[in-house]
Amino acid sequence: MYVHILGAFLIVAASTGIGMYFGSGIQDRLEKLRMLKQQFLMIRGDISYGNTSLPEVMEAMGEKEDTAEFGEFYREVSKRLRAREGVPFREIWEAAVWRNLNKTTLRRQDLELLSSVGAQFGYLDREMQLKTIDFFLARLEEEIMPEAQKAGEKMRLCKTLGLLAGAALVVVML
Amino acid sequence: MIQNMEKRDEILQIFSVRLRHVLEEIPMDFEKLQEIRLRVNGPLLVIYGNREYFVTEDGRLSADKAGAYPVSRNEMQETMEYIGNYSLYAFEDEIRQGFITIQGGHRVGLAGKAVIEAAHVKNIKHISFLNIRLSHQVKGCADKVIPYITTSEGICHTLIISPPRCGKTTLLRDIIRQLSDGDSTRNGVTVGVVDERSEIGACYLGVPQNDLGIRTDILDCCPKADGMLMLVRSMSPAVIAVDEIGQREDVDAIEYVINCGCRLMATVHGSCIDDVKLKPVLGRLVKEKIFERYVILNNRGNAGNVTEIYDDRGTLLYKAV
Repeated sequence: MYVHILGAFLIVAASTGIGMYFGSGIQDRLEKLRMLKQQFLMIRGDISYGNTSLPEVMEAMGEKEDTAEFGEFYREVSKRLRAREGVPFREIWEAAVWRNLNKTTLRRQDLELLSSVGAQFGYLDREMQLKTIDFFLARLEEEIMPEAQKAGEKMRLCKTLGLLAGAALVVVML
Repeated sequence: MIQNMEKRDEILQIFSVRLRHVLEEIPMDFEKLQEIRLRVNGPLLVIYGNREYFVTEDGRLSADKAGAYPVSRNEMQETMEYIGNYSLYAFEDEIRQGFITIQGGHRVGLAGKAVIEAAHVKNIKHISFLNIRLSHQVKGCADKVIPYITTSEGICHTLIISPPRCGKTTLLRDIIRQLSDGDSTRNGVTVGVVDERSEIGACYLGVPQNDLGIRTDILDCCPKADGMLMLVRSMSPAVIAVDEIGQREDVDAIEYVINCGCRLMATVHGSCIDDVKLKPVLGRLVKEKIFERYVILNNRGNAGNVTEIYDDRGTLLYKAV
């Protein structure tokens, strides 16, 4: 009997934990989107006021960025740009996005959005460059806003579903 | 030798990967390389030791057009990406003027389709023609000139007159270095350089890559007229040096500089004093005898080859034999 109770408790605890894990993923994605927004505001400032070139901007971002994935991402872009290996900016950017950020909580749609901004970088005049960044920031905001409003609700839902799934499993097993 | 290798790498890295391989194969002394010309669907050309050569696919210099390496549109685009450091937006002002100065002070001339707005060139698109002019520092090329532009009373206001590709910037650079460093017969003086196109000092992250002397202050990428006034007010130079003067605002700034007691070293395009006299704005300065020395260059022999030196009254002081 005690063994059954202990088993049921463990199942419910594990499934609740899984629910909470998915819930924290939602919060983490939101946090990453916000970081991305902040990073692009800094890139915008560097281009707008410092007229800085992309390899320099990327290097500076790589140095500033504390989070391992983003720091590594910017450093890789900067390093490959400086190497001038015969690959267009778009490809360098896209490869770095998928290599460094693929295992984060950012979703496929976020990575596609981030990849697409790379296709517009580099060759346009400054005004167009800034408008491209503004457009990306607006698209990012469109992702952040509803996610922020629903994040709490979604996290609770994940936790509850985890708990209920565990309870249902216990009932079936009994 | 090491400097030559550095210069070689510095130049080659701006080309597309294929062009880089072709140019790498050429057994040449980069100190003698003056220009590299690229035209979409046109042959790859170099000016080497004052002579024009076609470059073949296997990296040979040839006087014959047959077998010359043709430059494709993709190679031009890739080269432009590298020249602009993947950031052509950062060179908007330079592109509007038709050139970009790259690391090392080398000037890349551009041509393509001009975008006009309100009767002014706003940008150049479809860039299809490039002329990469290599900057060379020739230490000692001003040795002949220095005795004529320095007198017992001090340094003379000097104008270097030269057609393109004759080494006026190279000569100006060495004059700056020698005036700044001084020697056993002459004390060095503080020189302020307004390097609008980064060609004189070839500054990288604010530090000059060329030797301009120990008493030289450089205002990099600054418009000449503004820069001259800023230097006079802030750095108290004894000599101010500028390259390629000619705009109305340059002339106003020159008058200000001269009236402040600074000596002026400047260059201008032309082949003789009369050419400069005919220039609408600058001509007035010549007629008013503002400049005390005129150094005339030609492209026979080495860069900075001095043909004649005149004083303010037009008296010939030196003539090359």
